[in-house]
Amino acid sequence: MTDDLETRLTTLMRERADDVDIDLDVCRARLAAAPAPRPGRRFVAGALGLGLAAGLASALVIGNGWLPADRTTAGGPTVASFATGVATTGSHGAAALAGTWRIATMDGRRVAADADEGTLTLAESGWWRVDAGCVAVGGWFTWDAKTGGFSPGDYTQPDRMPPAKDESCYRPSILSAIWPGMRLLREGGDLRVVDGQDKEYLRLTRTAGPALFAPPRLSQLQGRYRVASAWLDGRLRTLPGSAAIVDLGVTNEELAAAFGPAECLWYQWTVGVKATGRFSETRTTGVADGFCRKPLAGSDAAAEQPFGHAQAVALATQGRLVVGGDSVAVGPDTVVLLGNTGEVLMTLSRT
Amino acid sequence: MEQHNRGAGASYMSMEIVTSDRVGIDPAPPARAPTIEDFLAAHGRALFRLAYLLTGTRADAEDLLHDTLVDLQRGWRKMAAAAAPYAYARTALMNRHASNRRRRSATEIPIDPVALPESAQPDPTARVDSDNALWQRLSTLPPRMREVLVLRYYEDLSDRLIADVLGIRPSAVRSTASRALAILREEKSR
Repeated sequence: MTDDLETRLTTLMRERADDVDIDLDVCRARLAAAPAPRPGRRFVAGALGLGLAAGLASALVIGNGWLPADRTTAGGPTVASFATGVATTGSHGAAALAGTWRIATMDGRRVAADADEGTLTLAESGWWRVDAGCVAVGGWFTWDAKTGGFSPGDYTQPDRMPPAKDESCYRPSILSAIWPGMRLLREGGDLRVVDGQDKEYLRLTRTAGPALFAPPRLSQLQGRYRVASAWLDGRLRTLPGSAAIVDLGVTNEELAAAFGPAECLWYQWTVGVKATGRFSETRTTGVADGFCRKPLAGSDAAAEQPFGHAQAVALATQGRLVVGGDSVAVGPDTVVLLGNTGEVLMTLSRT
Repeated sequence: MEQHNRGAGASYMSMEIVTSDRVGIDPAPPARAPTIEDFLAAHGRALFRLAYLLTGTRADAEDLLHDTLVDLQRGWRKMAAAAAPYAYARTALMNRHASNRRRRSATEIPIDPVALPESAQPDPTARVDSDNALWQRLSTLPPRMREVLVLRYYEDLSDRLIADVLGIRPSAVRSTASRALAILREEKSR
């Protein structure tokens, strides 16, 4: 017999389940970036059986709705510049867009290169981030190389709205680039942002910064890095004077980071890394605030010495620097640690 | 309010093969084997919501669903040939959930949450209402109890089917559910 608690459980679960919905774009992007299934063994009988099963399943599917009724097949107009010469090494074609872009023109008006109007960063793994002056938003995207159609998912609300006195640093125009339904079209070395009627909103050009961000190949990450920027006091700060060092080691599908000044081990951090760059699990050990507790050389003599070599970092954080994240992307001599909404938590530069 | 869409696998038990000849309309598109994309479009939402009820957070549900889809993609021949694809995927998801749970309990030491920047997104479940207490109690149940309750009260499965999905005896399902409900009642009365 169903009692009150069981009824409440049924209702509660259904309500809570209805409160969430899958983000198909994110799911597809992650699935596309997953390792390809291994090729099957070629047994004739197996192939015949598979063909028979697939044929039967297809017939059942057509009659019963595996194929969604609202599947969109119509695409935007084909753009000539995409017909040839577009490198789409990523399984969803995002490699052609990967990199950091700056506004070159806005509504036809040329924007000075040093105007700091905002940047759009697109990673091959399907992660995007927009810096619109003081505002940063991020998420995941899918992109159709044939139509230029751009489908941002997991759109995060601007988390750092400018104070009133800094309104001049807010650049809302760049946000039009990530509006659903916009198309991103390459033209020469630029990227055009147009709507469904081909009206151009923005023209973006590559910045001088790291050109490419891609899902990590772990073997390429091994090495010693300097902390170039980090999330400190609520914003991403560049740390030009930082002497903080991260030694990245790789074992199987794990990435291990030993963090500290050059001669000290300050912080150890190990994560499992999926093909998309998402971390599957995290372990941390050896956290110390402002002191070198365990010298790398193995001697106890240097224990508890002041944390002198990374003063720029230590001062900025009152002795504490956050190392963590939910995923990793890589570029030439650069590693970027990302938070769960795509925000950059730390960039590392190879020494 | 959106209609609750569950138990998609059950519909396959009575499905009918309809050809273009019979319906007398334009010829159907060429038959092709279903892909994981097709499955995702048809059943992704239901599986995601099941994953959410099992894990309690959207991020964990996304990871659980992703891992399950990768598993399914690797064994797509079995999946494509399954008579009830949703039920097959549901069992795969439950297995993956159990596997993740065992692995995480052995290896994961979470970073101190205070040390990480706050998420830019508010917690969508942070509503203050009377159901929150029950939801909270549900999240503190041992994982096996939670799995049984989700399959019984959300997926609406019989104890025998739950036993099949979880690989345990029906009597174990009944006793687990009974103990779980007792815990929820006990905490409710405190």
